[in-house]
Amino acid sequence: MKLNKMIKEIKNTLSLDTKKLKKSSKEEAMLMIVSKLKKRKKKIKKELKENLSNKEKKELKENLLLIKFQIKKMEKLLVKLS
Amino acid sequence: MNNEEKEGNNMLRKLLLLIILSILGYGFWVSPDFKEITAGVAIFLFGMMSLEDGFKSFTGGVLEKVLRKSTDKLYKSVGFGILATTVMQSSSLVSILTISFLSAGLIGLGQGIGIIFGANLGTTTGAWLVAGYGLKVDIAAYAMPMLVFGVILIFQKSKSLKGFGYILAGLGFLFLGIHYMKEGFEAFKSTIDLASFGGTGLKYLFIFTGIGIFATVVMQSSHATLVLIITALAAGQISYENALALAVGANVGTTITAVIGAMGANIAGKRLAGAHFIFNIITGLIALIFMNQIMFSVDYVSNYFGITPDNYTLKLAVFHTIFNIIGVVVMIPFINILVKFLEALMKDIAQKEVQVVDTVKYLNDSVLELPETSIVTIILETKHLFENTFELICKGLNLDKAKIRSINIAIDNTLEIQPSNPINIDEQYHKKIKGIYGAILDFSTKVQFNTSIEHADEIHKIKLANRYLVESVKGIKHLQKNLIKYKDSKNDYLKEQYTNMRMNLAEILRNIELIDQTQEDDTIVLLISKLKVHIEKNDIISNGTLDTLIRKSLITNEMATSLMNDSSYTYDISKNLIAFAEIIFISSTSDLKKLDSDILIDENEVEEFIQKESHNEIK
Repeated sequence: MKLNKMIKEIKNTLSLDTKKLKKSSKEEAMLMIVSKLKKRKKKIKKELKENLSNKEKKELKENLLLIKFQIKKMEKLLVKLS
Repeated sequence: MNNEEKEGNNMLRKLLLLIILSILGYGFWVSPDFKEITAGVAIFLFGMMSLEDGFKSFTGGVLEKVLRKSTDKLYKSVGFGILATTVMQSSSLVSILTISFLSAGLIGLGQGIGIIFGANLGTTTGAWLVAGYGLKVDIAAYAMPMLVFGVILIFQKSKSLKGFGYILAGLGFLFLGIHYMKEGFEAFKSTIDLASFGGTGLKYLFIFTGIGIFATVVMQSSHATLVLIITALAAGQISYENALALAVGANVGTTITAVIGAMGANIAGKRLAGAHFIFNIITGLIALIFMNQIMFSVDYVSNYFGITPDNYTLKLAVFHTIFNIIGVVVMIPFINILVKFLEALMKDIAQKEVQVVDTVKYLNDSVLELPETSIVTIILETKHLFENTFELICKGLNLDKAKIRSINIAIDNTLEIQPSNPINIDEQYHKKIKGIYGAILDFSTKVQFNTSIEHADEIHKIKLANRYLVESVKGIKHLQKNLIKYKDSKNDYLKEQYTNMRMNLAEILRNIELIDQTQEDDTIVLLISKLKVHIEKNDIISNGTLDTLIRKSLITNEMATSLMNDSSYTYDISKNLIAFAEIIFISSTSDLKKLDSDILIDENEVEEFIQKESHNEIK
């Protein structure tokens, strides 16, 4: 999925006030990072289905958890800012 | 430059000043017209100074940004040099800016030379403006309102209005200066015919080139010399042929000004002045050797553009442009050779000697007036300090620096066998950290003093980042003691804990290295958060490992105290390193700069994350 589409999706899901999110503002930059993190999350989920060693799987799972946590934190901030 | 050289230089300057003042005094006494001409030159030079001040305060930030973006390719560097000098009518301001960037390591010598070549072409527009416009209209009529508006604006509080005022007043003074020079030469004509001192042939070619060099060295501006030549030529006080030789002299003379100016600059500035000198000398030699051929091409070009054969002032502008273009065309293919030659000729003294004490690489007082460049420079120097801190931590803990940097090598393989003769951290601190840290603090404070609140805040944060690095080195000093003490301990539990401490710090260093290498903002955010979680998870006091070791009597009381202290040091070193990374890598990433650090997870959230992770609560 393209980043722009993803950003739109996040805006809809979080019901963000798009008018307030002016281009190149702090919120826009944050949205960009959230969408990149979501992309990364999808990629890790895919990788987890592959044949990996337990150590690799553990590491990926830890990363996945951290990404989820970071996304949640930033989404909360976005809702607060919009 | 050593003290003797400095003293000699000062004496020479004083002697030159005395000679000039005496000649001027005699001239004023003999001729009132001479007074008018020299007053014109003085006003013109004052105008240039005012114009430079205006551009510095008005477009400093813009110029820095443009320069940073437009010098990655040679044609862009040359183009920037032409454009900036054309707009500002001052090649010296462009040269100063170029030396600043070069000294700060923001551009290479090749790009710097490109800008200087471009600036040389840019100066030719000055001759066109004066010859084509300045002499034909009564520019003094424009000068008066410009001066009035300019001075009013100078008194305004707004920085941009003030800058605009300086530019306007500067232009006003330039126009007024040209007017006085023109008037002076016209009046001079009725008393003395200077043209009678001139002549043709090789002898006069060299004499007038020499006069051009001397005049430019005295006035410190080839632009002013050129205007003087054009006004004298327009008044018929010098012949066309002699004016051409004077113009060549002005071009050569300006390099002597640059060489004198670069005496106090660092090695990068000296190399650039060297390039400027070689370029102008070669261009001047080409002009002198092929004078007849160039004069022929001037006639051809002038005829093509409809310039009448007796319009010598415009023909002088054509000549000035042609011989500078020839110089650039001839020299451009040799830029790389020139760079290699200058680098070999002027080797960095610091490189020559075996360095005992590491010194600053990027900080240079020449960028002090450019706030954005200063910040970039401080960040670069801070990264240099980090590089030394990295090295010191590795040496102190016996970690393999190269292996830490190679992400394919497992972190436990980065540990080296601890030698019986460890390095002296205190000594290394004085050699590798203290001097640079002190210089960063000194430079940052100077920049902070003359900058906006936003920039001052940013600099304050960078200063903190430096302090975090210094604190982490101090922590290593404490940690090293027990690492040495317990290196041969027979207690495997204790040894395992110390190994873990070293591995944890190696992990932190590796991740900071990864952060430094990436441009992806999400990766930076994620890695910093990951590091925060990592140190909390591995802290043996909070994760209960130390309690277990004590409870099960696996270590002695003395060992427990040591472990408790050292795990605290490890924790603090880690925290300091992360805090450094948070400031420096977020400040230097443009997208992340817009965000506050509140996007990163804080201490409470780290705890929350660890709890949720252990209970599998994150969905």
